Amino acid sequence: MASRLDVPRLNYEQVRASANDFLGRFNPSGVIPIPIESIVEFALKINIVPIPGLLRALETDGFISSDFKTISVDQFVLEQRERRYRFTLAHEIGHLWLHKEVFAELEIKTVNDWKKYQSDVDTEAYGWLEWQAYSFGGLVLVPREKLSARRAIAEEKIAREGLDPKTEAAQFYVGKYLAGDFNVSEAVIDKRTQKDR
Amino acid sequence: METLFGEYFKQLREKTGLSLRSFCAAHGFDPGNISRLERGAFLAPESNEKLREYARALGVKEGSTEWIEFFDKAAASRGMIPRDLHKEEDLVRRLPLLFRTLRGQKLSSEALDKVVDLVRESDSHGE
Repeated sequence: MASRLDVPRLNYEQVRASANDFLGRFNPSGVIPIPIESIVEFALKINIVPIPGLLRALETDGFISSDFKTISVDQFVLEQRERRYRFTLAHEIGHLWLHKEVFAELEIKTVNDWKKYQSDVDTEAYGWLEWQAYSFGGLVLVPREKLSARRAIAEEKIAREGLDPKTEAAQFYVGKYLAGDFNVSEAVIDKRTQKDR
Repeated sequence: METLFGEYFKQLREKTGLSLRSFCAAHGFDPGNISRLERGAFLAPESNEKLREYARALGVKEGSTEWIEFFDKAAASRGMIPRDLHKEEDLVRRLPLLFRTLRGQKLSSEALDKVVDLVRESDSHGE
């Protein structure tokens, strides 16, 4: 059984182009926050499978199944950490959208095959796949044009309240405001902002 | 194979526009159980009171044709065998190809067994 993966080495702009294709198809109205849960459950027909204790036992928020038909997710994250849950969905959909073909040649038929594949899989290839899906998640939930437009509105608000939007303190509030707007964590806003600079 | 009731339940939920998370939060349901019900791992509940609670949450109007259909499909589904992951090929399809811990580490053999156990339990119908 082959565990060598032929991974495309996509750069950030290529992942951005894929994320924009995805949004064009599944969120044509451009509404934000991006309705990622509806897209996953109703448009893509993927079942959500809450798993109690997944994060505690295995230090992961969730994963997409090898047939790309279910996303298993830590039940606490699903119920109590909405922003983190939304990012998990967007990240896992990144694997579907970007990587489905990568796995087409694998022939995993038994649990032992699966364990062998997990042990043998190339770490560097894995790293690329994760980085691309992580980037895709951020780009889908926080598209560049929307981020830029909403940032301008947030900075205007801050300025009206007498703060210079360029200061660190003002940017802290802008980050909070944008995180609410896009329904993502402030860390995601930070990462997306850095990448768009 | 999904039961007709599970599929029907999910279709009705889709009509409400509520995601699994929002639907369960709004009505106090356990998302693991609703997910199992929709995927056919749980059969429709025996309790009419529970069914009525579900039907109302799904926006089905009492006494309507849809209301009758909801209860008919529930009754029919109870004669079916709940879907399970006893077949190895079904279980393998549910396992992740990509699995990374938050620290980016590969899993040990014991941790991989734990993944298998958790996935199997997520479809367990308590037998």
